[in-house]
Amino acid sequence: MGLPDSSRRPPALPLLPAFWLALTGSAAVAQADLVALRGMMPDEVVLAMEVEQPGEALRSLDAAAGAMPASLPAALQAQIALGVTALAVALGGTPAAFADRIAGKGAVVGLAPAPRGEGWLVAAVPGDLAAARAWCERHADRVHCAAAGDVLLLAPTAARLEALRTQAEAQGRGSPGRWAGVDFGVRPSGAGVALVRGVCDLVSLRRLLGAKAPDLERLDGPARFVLSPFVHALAAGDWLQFGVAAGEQIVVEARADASVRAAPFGGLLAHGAHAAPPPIDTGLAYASLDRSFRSLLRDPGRFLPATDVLAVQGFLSIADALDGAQSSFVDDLLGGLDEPAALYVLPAAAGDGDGPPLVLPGIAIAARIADAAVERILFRFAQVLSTIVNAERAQKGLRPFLMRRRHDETGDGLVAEPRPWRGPGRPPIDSGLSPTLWCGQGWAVLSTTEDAAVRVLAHLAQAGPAGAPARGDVLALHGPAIAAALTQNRAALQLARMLDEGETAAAAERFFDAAIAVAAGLHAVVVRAEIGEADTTLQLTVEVVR
Amino acid sequence: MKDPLAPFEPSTRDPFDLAKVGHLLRRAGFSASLRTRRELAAAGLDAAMRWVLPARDRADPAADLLQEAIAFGDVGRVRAFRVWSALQGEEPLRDRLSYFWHGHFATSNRKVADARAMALQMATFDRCGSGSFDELAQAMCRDPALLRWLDNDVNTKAQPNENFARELFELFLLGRGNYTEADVRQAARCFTGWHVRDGQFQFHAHLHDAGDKQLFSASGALDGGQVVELAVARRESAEFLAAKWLRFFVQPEPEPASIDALAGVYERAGRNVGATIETLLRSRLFFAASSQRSKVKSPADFVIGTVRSLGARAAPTELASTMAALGETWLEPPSVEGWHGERAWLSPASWLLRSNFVADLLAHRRGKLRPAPHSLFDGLEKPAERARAAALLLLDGVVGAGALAALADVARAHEGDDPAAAAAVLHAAASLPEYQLS
Repeated sequence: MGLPDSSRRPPALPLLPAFWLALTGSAAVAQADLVALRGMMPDEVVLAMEVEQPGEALRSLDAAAGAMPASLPAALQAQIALGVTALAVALGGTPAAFADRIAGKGAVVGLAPAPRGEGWLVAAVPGDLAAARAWCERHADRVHCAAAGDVLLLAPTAARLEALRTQAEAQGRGSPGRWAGVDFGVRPSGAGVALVRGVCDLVSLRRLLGAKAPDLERLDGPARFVLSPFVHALAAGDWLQFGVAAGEQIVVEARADASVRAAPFGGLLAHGAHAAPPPIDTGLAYASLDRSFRSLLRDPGRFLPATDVLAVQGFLSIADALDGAQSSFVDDLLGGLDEPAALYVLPAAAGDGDGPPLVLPGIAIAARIADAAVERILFRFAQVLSTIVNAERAQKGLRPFLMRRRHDETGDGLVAEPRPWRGPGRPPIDSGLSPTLWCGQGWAVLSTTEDAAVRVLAHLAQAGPAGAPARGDVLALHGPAIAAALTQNRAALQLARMLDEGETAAAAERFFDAAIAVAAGLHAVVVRAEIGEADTTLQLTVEVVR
Repeated sequence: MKDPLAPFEPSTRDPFDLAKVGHLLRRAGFSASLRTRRELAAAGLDAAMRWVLPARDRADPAADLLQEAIAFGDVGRVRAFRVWSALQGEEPLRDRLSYFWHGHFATSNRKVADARAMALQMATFDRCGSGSFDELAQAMCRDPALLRWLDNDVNTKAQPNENFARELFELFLLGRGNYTEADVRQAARCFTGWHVRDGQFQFHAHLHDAGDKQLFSASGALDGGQVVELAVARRESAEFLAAKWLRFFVQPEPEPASIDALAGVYERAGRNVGATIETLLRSRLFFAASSQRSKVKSPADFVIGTVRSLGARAAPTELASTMAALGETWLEPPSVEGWHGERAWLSPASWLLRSNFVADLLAHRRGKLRPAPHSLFDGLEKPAERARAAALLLLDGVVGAGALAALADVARAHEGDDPAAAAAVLHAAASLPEYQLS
């Protein structure tokens, strides 16, 4: 018996009651069999996502996202509210209520290649049949609908719907599509309920993208250093699984079934003896990459494009000479430090009176000392470098830094202090800098300010014994600290926006009102990457301020 | 014309129309959007004058922003801020006069090497440029950037340096031929000890020549301030400034009668610059056909004026670098004579650069242009309509039949609603010879 066809526009209306009769005539609709819904996806679908309870998923996401920050500019809040209202009118209710009606008992969404956004396909089990019916009739000019037993099929065009219906029929006859056998494995860890899971067919995607497919060879040197594990995973993997979960946090996780570890670019991984220096709670940002700068500089031709190899060789010719040929930059200096290092961005120390127009945060790089002999090399290196910098500053009519040695119970330091500013006007930006090298308690810290170096070293000294070797990357951003830094530098940043974008003063002010409000509302955004033996996982965690 | 500066009185035969508004806004500012031009044309000459004239007793709304720009110590930032200020255009004539004084008291950061001093000099022009010339001249003789630029911060009793005094007379106050070498030597003595320390003016009495001097009709222990008082009071000073204002605001080669008349206005106004320029801008001479489209647009006029004529926003940093490529780097004039301007702005290379700038601007390659150009042609589909719209936007509709036909041909060759079609017509209009003239 053929399926009733409701995809035709009126005057096919007389058929619609038959379609809905077929649907309502079925037994009470059970929770969707997601595997069966997956099996309805045509083979040309490149990405498929399943949602067990779409309405609940949206409500969970909404709860995890929290309320709109009260400090957001009133005009922007009004715009957002207007958009939300318009959406509710279009959907006939909130997005969650709409999802309950159309797909309340589960849905699978497929994306196939198509022009102009016409590639989506949906197989859903409605939560409210009458409402689903009414909605399909109202939007018959934009959405084509058909029934397959309990299942509502939706597509943007008749052709797409036909493809979906054909596969649904095949599924019904016991010949499910390939997506029924795909492993939708990822359930993001560390959050509440898994709301959405999906899989992308990387092989098909790469075929579609053709020359634009991910390719490490197209990246420049710095991009290769940072992104090689992820680009390799997309370029070599067969499947990319992903999932979204929400509880106290919103977690998005993706896993590709390929790892750079066994590939030539795997030589860029750190393979360190210890875990990375641990993150600090009071910073704006923290980053640690499981990469070996040493490996890169030892064999740049293996990893970098030819132009970047020349740049590396040029750099090394200078770096090796800075210590007067007493040591090698790569073998002795970098070789005396454990990898990976970590980058810390800390709030600037509060100053007295009128400070520089831009108060830069303190930026520090910390690494564990692997060979105690490296301390002397580091200090010699720093002294030579500071002499060169001061000579260049003198040529430009800038005031030199004053070099001071420090010693306390935490270790030894070399600090480049700016000279006190006597005016006229506000001090220059570099008056907030005091480049510092500090070594002690098994750590070496290089930073833009003495305050940052001292705080990072104190934190590392309290951190405890080193953990297991790192196998991945971490990037953590702390919204309230970022908001405070934006507020501190607001006038300068607004001016930059006016001069670089041509905005009026009022528009620049509104932009930063919004940016600060958003940053203040995000407690933390953390990106973690784990590079396994045979797979690569990336996890994004967002936690809002409550 | 009996009185060259007799006021222009709009009539049905000679109305205050869009062309005259466009002319006023280009000469007394850096142009304005078509919407503003239409509103002012409808509102009349008095309303248009109120729009361009600086508001008295009004605190500078951008003063805090200027301090932020200065604080970076980067002359590029200060330059971009000046361009931003001209783009915002809240005080067109004030900005225009500051632009004039920048070319008059031409000081280059290449030697001064102090972004703060340059920014404060421009702020002096903003503050004093449309008021009493006496006050402005006194302020400039204590301006750190100018003193350093003309070597007066090494002018001492033991070793007088005449550079500052010479340029003061020749280029700033009197003009060539209106002083003698003896006057220069005496004035140099008056300015000894007028130095700069830590970026601020400082009078070093122990380095100053306090002896008797003879300058013009005065004698005694004269100092720099008195030199300025004596110079600005001379008729030659009034005529010198009047000639410069006429060349800058009206015509490249003014008539002697016009110079004499404007000098008289200036003196009767108590040497008030704003009042003098207002009289000039209201005159029949200013609105005469011979004055309109009689000057070659400077790079600033072309670049900033194009963005403002399109009623758009663009990145000041990009615009400043374009102006520099066209030969006008604000805060770095080529010499103490400033920029020579007029025909010196045009060459085959600069013409091509101007054309390329407009093409880049319309294609958003000079920062985002908002609103997008094609929105200016909303609802206009016929080539002739688009050609007229482009002529109105950029040329106040004053364009010959041949040029209009050429624009229509371009519109015909680029039909469609896409941004590229609109950009082609606007680019063609901006490449017309007429558009290179103010």
